[in-house]
Amino acid sequence: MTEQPNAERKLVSGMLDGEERAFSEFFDDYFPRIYRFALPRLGGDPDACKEVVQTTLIKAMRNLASWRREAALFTWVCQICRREIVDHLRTVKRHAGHVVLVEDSAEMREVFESIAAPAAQGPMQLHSAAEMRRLIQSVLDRLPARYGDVLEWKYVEGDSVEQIGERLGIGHTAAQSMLARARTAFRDALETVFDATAHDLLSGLRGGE
Amino acid sequence: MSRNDNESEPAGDEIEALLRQTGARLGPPAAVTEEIRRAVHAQWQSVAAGRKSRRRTIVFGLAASVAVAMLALALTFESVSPPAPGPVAILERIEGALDILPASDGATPVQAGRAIVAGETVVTDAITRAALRLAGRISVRLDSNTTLDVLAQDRLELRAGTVYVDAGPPERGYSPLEIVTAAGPVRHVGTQYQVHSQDGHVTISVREGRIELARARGPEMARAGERLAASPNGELARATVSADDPSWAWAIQIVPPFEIQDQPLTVFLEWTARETGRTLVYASPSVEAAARDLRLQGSIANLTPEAALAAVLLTTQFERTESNHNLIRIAERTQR
Repeated sequence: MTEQPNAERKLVSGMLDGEERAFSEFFDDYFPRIYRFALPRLGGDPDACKEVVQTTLIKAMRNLASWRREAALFTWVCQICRREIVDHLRTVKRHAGHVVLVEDSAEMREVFESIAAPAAQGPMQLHSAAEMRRLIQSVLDRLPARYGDVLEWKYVEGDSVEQIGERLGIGHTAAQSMLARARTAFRDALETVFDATAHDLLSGLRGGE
Repeated sequence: MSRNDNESEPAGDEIEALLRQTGARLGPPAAVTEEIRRAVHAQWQSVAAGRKSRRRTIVFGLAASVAVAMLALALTFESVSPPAPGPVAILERIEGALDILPASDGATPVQAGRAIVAGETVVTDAITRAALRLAGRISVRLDSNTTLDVLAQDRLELRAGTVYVDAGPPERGYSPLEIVTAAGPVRHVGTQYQVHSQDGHVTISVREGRIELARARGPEMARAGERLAASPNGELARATVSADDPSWAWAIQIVPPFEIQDQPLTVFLEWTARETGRTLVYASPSVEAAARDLRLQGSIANLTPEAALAAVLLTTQFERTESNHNLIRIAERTQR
């Protein structure tokens, strides 16, 4: 999968060159994902989340030129966010028991970070239906290049391919092709993270209720 | 949903069913999105502008080096460079990461101790505050999201944001300073005050002494406890503001370092009272004399004035006994 690093490189380069369109693309794509990344780790505190995410993205802007592409751009921003969360919790000492999510374990982090280029398979113990839903949403957030948005618009919000194309400013064929790539990436990611197919997960979710 | 867009393979239906079971992901509130977008956008613009400026400097440097070499041949004994402007201020404290434009070296973060020369612009982002001291000894503190042009040691231009000025106690005399704003220049007479400017709206709050806002129809004065609000259409409103109003609180977070080593306790207490907007009183003349005789040792680095006061008093025979939050009252510690 070499397409994604190139897209990220182009995005960062456009931002460093002062292209407004590149900034909008970055913010619209990354801000909601980082927000969702931070919120559960801050015990669901929206004020803390706002402060931490703002600081994270400002630091990301400040250090954009130092992004070395060893990690996916989202992983890099998440690393900044993790440090901000730790600093915040240390300062307020509000959450005595630091919030640790299942995807924060070393094993799961490795698996999540490999989503952009699936490689090693990691066994996944099944969790409650609610936890499964949250993990599947985390998988959507970790997919590259707005694939998560495209899948959600199509299958949850019910947008047509034309509407998706309009939302992204691309033509029908490009939108259809992106949707196909998004489905493949999502299916691969599910197998990487859960060691299970969409069919298995669906059965698990339905059976868990 | 338009069914003919769907893929024919059965796994596509499973993905659809799985995502429907999972539900939509939570989206950040629109107001939060907008606020964070503005803050991040401002930081991004500053980074991009700094890079452009550095690139121009490099291109200019190449062209200039050729020109200088040619001039050097013709003007062997004459200098071709204009004299460098001298520093007019020094950065005393930075919380966050400061930008100074025009950027000269993007690889090196700006640090406390750096001199500011006339013509430079100090920029703080949403998570940065800074304190600088003008050559006339006036302390100027910048709140977050502030852009301040340093025009000379006695002249600043507030383009946006908030600055707090402490010209020192009136009895020490004062150095002149003019802050250019959209509503006109602000001048002070030995004072503590802050000026906020945003989209043509200018607010000046006076904590001590008085200021003068020069306007086309004549100067407007404001005294301690007053707040002037000038709108872009020229209207001026007055309100009151107490010395411990929450709007002053940010300036305490970026208070310049204060060295207590070998200082009399009275000097430290006066500094604390001044920074917190309170009045210092002693329980008796003998308490004041004893405090003046006491020399302090150590450091209060990184402590707020309130925290420093608590820490320092614990090491002395004195304690605070005030019942009024506008006062700091010092008395001999009672034996318990």
